[in-house]
Amino acid sequence: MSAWQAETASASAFAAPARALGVARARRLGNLGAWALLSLGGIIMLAPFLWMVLMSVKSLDEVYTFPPVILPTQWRWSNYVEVWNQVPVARFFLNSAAVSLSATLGVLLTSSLGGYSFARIDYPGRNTIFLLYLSTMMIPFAVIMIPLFVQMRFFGWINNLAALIVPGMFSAWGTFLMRQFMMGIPKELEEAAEIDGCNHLRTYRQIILPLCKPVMATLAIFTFMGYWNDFLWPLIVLSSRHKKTLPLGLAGFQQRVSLNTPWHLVMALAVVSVLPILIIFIVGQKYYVRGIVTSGLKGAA
Amino acid sequence: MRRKRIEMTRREWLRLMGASGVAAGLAACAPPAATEAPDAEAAAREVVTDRWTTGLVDPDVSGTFRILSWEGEGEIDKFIPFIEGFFEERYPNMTVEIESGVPWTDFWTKLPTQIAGGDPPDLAWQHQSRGWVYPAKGWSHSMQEYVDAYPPDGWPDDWEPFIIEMSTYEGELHALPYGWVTWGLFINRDVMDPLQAYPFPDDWTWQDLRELAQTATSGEGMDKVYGVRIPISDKTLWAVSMSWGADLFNADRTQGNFEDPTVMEAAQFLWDLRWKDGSMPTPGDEQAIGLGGEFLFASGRIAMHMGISDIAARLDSAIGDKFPWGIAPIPTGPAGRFGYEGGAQWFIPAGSRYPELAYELTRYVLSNEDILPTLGIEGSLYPPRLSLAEYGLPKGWQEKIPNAKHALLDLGMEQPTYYQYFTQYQEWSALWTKWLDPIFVEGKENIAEAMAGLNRETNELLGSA
Repeated sequence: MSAWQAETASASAFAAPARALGVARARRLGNLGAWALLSLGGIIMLAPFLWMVLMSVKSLDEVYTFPPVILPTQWRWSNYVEVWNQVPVARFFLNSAAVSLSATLGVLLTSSLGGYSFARIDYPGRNTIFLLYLSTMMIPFAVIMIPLFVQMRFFGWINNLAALIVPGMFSAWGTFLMRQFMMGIPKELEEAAEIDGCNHLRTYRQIILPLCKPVMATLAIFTFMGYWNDFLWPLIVLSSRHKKTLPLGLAGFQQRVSLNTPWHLVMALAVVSVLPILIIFIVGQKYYVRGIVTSGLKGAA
Repeated sequence: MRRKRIEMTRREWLRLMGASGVAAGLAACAPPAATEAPDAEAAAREVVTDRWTTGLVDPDVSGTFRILSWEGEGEIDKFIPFIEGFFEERYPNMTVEIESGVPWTDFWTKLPTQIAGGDPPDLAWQHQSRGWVYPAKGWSHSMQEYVDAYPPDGWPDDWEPFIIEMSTYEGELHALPYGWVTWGLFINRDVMDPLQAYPFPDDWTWQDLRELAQTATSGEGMDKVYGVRIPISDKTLWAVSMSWGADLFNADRTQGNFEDPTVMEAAQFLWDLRWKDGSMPTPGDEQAIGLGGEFLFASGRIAMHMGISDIAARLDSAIGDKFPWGIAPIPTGPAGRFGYEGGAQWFIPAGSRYPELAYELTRYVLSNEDILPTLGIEGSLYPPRLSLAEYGLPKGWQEKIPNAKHALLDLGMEQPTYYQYFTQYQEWSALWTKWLDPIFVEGKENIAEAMAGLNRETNELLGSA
């Protein structure tokens, strides 16, 4: 090795860690920038929710103060008691829970059965029926509102929670989700079950369904959240106060005093109505995210 | 003592949750518990037959009478005792179910769906903007026969004629008004007293308003005080344009008149107030301030605010002692003053199971001089009978704001004017948004082009293109 080569090699030996250090620093800076940007986005997303919570513990005077104050001078947790006393929150809550839970269970059952049929059983016209069912997703709700209302009237379910639960038990999107997932389950499992003497129902119940827990959790979260927040159909079909769900109760409460809306109480009720959804989202957020991935990418494959 | 720990597998827990869901669903779907049978005292109570009953309804009729309203609880509470009292005394076997607090926009989805779906309420609130729409579509039950045979008290001379006209479609009355409003200009006297002696003269003009607004505008940014706030809509364009002698449509509402030079001039006037003079806040300004509507006036940032009479009580409570304020009449012009009046009614939806009963109730509540003063309490809508209209003004205002009655009510009754809605009004509103929102909301300058476009598509919609 010549002197020149030795010198160059020695210089490279020093330059490599320096370059690596520079890359690491650049990466750290990049990460920092990304984190800062994401944090800013997070704060912007979170701000309305925080504002709602803060409003719910202010006095009405503070709500209307201009320029607005961020933190209340006195934290009025009694607003929650007040709203509880003014509005049948428990009844609204129970109705929402009954509708959301029942419809979710129904969707899980019908979608998994439908998905199994479309994914695992061969019969003539299967794909056509599936496509037809799927195409119902393209019809806007406004178009089917009146026919659905007439149907509910025929069954005597107007002003009855059954009008929310029963039509809500069927979901083309849910069936699609289940079918896509079930199509990925190895055929060999089913064949082994068949050799062991399982019929379709038993295979569905004992082999396929236990493997579908992740996608069912996803479907359950989406469905529950959808029905918990549903507003228009319950508004049209329900009229008695004791039948109303939380979103209807919230809207009605906001309307109840046309002079000086008590925004602090409205926000307290909004916080109460959001809590179950928030808890469900926190507990099942990985399924929620997976649902978006499954239905958006994997499902389409 | 050792307590036995109850353990549950995940499968059992899921089963329990499933069973609970099903049970909750079944429980929630169950019909409500039967209402208690009327007690002996109620059964023995004598059923009233008086001038409010028509004899068309069997006093023993039983069932549920359903009412649908957009009013929030604070407003509907005024009606409830009279509605319930009517049934208790005259039809004790009937149960009344009042659904109130339906948000305004959703009300107009719910009601038509119920009517089209064959399960409408027996009586419902109606707004003048739909006064002709529902009869034209066959969605309302005519009241004409009932009114002819059993007229409401004071009918027709003591009733505000314009609102009766708005509820009359092809010669038949389809609704009875429960209240009406007028426009006025709410004046911040701290700002305006140095510029214009209060009360404002009856003959002040739109040009006077513009000059005053320019002078009253001061400051910059978040400290800016705006001279005037006019909610720009077809109604306000109509008010200015009419006072200068031109309507927005032809008389029978089959043709637009938006290319008329006077209408164009009125549009330019409103645009100038907001975008040229800067004396009226833009929607962006209001967004930046975080306040809109009457709250902006109540904050002290607006010198003159144009609004309908029923906001007066709300303003009073929002302003408190912050500044003295007053009310001025709507400015006038060569063709007069067009201080728009509007109102709302009760109507019987097509398919109502108890139309005669609905009419009896309507007549009892809305024409009864023992009830109407109560419905007009605290600066709400003016009761529909002219002799009782004054009850719609807040109590004690003669002393507090001496000009209120004159500016809002007397001038309105002296020169009744109203904006005539038409059967395709809802569809037409979308054309207004399409063509004039870019002008008035976004500040684009090509008014002539927009008005020509609006006129062309209006004529296409109304069938005169």
